[in-house]
Amino acid sequence: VTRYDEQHLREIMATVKAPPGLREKALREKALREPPPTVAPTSPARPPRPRWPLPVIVGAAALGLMFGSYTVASRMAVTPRPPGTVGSSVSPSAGPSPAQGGPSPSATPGPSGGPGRNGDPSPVAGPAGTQSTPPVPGVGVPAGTVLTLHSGDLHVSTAGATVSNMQVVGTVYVEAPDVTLVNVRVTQPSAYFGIKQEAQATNLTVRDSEVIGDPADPPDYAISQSVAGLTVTRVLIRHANSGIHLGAGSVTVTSSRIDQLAGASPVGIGSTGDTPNLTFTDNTILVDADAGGAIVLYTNDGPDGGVLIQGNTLAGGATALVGAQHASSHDIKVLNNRFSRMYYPTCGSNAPVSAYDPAEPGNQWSGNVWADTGQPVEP
Amino acid sequence: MDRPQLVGDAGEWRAVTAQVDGTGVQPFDEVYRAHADSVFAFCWSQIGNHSDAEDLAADVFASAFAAYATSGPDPEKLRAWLIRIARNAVIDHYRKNGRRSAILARFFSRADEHADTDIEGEIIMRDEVTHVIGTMRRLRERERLVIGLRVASNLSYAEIASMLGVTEHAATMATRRALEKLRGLCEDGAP
Repeated sequence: VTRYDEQHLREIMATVKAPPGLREKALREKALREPPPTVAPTSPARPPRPRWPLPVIVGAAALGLMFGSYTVASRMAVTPRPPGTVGSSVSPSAGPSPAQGGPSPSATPGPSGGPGRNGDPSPVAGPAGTQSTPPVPGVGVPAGTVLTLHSGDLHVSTAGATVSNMQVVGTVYVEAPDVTLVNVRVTQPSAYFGIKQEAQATNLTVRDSEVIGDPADPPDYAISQSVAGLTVTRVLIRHANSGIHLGAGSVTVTSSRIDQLAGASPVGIGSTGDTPNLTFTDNTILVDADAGGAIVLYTNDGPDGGVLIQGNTLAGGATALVGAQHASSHDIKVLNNRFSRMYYPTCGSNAPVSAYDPAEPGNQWSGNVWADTGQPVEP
Repeated sequence: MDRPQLVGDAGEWRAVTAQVDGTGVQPFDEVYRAHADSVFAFCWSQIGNHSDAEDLAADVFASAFAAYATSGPDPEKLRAWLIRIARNAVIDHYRKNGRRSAILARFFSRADEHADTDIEGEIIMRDEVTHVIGTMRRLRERERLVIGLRVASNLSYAEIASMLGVTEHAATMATRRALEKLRGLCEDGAP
C-alpha cells in the first residue's frame, strides 16, 4: 500500500464510525419534522365552525393575493441589488446560425465585465452595452432586452410565477409548480446547478434564456430536472459539464443551443434512464470532446420510451447520440437529424450513434444525414 | 412551540421496522446499522467538521427514514440511495451556510479535533483521518465529492457516474485525478 493512495485512503476512512448519538439525533429530527398530533381520540366533537360573512372572505382573498405577490418579490430580492441594469445587446453578426451547425467563437472575458459573485469580472455581461460572449442569433435572450441584475441565488417559490428580463449572478432554484423563466440570463452559478428544478416544481418553462457557467468553475448541470414537466425553448447553454440533466421525464427541448461545454466527458442533454416522453427538436448541440455526447440516453435506472429526436444538429463526444441502451427501451424515433463532422471524421470520436436498435418496438430511424454531404447516416 | 414527544428508540424506529417487515423489505434499523458509518464518513469528508457532519448525517437518516417505506429503494442500491440523499443534504448545507465559508475553509483549513478514544493505534489512525479530511478541504468541491463517493462511501465508478450524470469513464478519470491531487497534498503535510 502506497501512503495515501486509494487503498490507504479507504483504510483510513473505514476507521470512521458514526457517533454514538447519531441514531437518536436522527429520530429526534424525524419527529421534529412531523406535524403535531391533531385531535386526540377521546376529545369531544368540535362544535361546527361559524360561517364567515362574504365580505370577510373576499377581503381575505384580496389580502392573500397581495401577500402572494409580495412573497414573489421578496423571495427574488434575497440580496441587495446593485443599482442599474444590464443591457443585452446582441451582436447580429456573431457566430453561425444553429441551422448551420458550425462552431461558434470562444467566449472571451471582456475587460469591462460586470460584477461577479466574488468580485471577479463577469465573462458574459458587463455594464449596459457591453457583451463579451457573442450570443447566437435566435437563441437566448433577445437583442435589446434590458435585464435587471440580481446578485446571488434566486429562489422562485410561488406557483405560477413568471420571472422575466433578469440576469441572475448565481443559481436559480425553482421551488414551485408552473413557473416560467423568460429572458433570463444565468451567470456564475454554483458548482452544481444553473437552474435547479426542485422536486415540487412541476411544469417548468424556460424560454429565450441563457445559462452561462463560469469557465473556471463550471456547474455540473446548466439545467437539472427533478420532477416531470420541463419545457426549454430557444435557450443557450455554455460552460457547464452537462447541459440539461433529465431526472424525471416529460421534457421538451426546442430550438436551443448547447455548446462550449466543460470537462472531460461533457453531455449536452443526458438521462440516466426511466425518463419517458422526451421531445428534442431543432436543437444544435456541439460537444468538443472525445467523450460524452450531444444527446445521451443512458439507461442505468431503467428503459426510456416515447422519445422524439428530430431536426437537430449534433456533433462530437464519443458518440453524438446514445440512443437508450436498455433492452426494454422502445418508441424512440430519430428523424431528420444532421450529424456534423466538425470535430471528428465520424462525428463523435467513435461514431455518430451508439446503443440504438431500430428493431426495438416503436423505434424509427429515418432521414438522418451527414451535415456536410447530406448522405444518410445509419445506426 | 412544544417539541413533539418522542416515542423513543424502541418505539418509532421499530414501528417503521415492523411496517416494512410485512412487505419483505429490509428493516430500516438494519439499513441504519449497515450504512451509518459510511454515510457519516461521507458527510464528514464533505463538510470537514465533525459536529456539523453529525447534524447532517442525522438529517440524512431522518429523510431516509421518512422515505424508506414509501419510496421502496432498490435493496441492491441502498448505499447509493443514502449517499444520494447525503449529497443533496451537503448541497443544501452549503446553500444555507454560503459558499464563502467553504472557500475560506479551503485556504485556512485545519482538521477539527475530535478525541473519543484512548487506544494508541486508534489515536494514530484518528490523526490520519483528521489529516486527510482536513486536507480534503483544500480541494475543489467536485474533487472532494468524487473522493467522498469513492473512498468514504465505497461506491463503484458506475454508481458515481450515475450520480454525477457522466460516463463511467469520466467518473473514473475525475476520481483518479482528484485522488492523485489529494495524495500529493496529504504527503506534503503528513502528520
